[in-house]
Amino acid sequence: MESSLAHTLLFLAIFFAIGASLAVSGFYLDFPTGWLGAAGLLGWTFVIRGHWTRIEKESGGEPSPPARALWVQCAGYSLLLGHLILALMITGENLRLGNGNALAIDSWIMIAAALTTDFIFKRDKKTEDERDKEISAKGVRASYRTLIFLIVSLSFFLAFAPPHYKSDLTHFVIGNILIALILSSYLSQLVSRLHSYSRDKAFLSVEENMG
Amino acid sequence: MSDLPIGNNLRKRRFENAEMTQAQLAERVGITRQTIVALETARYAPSLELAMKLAAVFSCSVDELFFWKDEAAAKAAYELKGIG
Repeated sequence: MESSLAHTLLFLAIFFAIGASLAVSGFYLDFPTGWLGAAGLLGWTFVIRGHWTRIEKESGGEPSPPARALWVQCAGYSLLLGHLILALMITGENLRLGNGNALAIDSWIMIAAALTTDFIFKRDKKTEDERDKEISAKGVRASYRTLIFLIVSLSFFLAFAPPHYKSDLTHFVIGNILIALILSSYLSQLVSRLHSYSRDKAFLSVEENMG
Repeated sequence: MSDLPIGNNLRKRRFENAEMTQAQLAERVGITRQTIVALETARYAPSLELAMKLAAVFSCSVDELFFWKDEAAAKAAYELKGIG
């Protein structure tokens, strides 16, 4: 696997794992960990924003504005996906609000944080040019293929899996699984786009030094 | 560095034009600096519109700015032959 793709997937996996561990600890410690996730995401966003601004001034090796927005989205949505999947695995139907745990509220709090970080970087975005649109179109194709694959897989599972595997799959749970699939396909778009941008890094610093 | 068959003189032109920075050029044509870097390292082929904008900045024609890396091979592949 190309190192840039591995790097992007590792980044995604770290935030996914943080989201998953927040769900597990929130459930077993009965503590609203969504606030921790939201604060962590916002804090990380401001730190990385400052870091990129500093690199922009010092060495010129910073990611482009659209790529920066993608990294932040990737962090936020990986966190949400990790939290959602583990919350569903632990609680299933009881993920609903008012069912004795704070996981649903935690999820909504982290959604608000992810949207806020997204907003911060969209406001920062200076330019999106034709290359970004080409990269974006490639990402959308990857996302579309991933979504089709996941929905077809789910359909086969619902149609042919033995009944005891499906006993916990209420409409509420299936609805949440569909949300997880949509999030996964969106993440595949982000990974594809970040992979396209990742080759920039090797050239940016060299170019600036020569410039 | 690149599989693209088209190269360019962007870097040379920038330096000939008062050592214009990548950021300045990017701002003039409304793209990101990273796209200028991708163009200069021949990892991205611009649209005709962007190529014409870049040529306009340097007051030259598009084919003075962009060129086939292997002109003979390109001509052999794309030249119209036996028409008419």
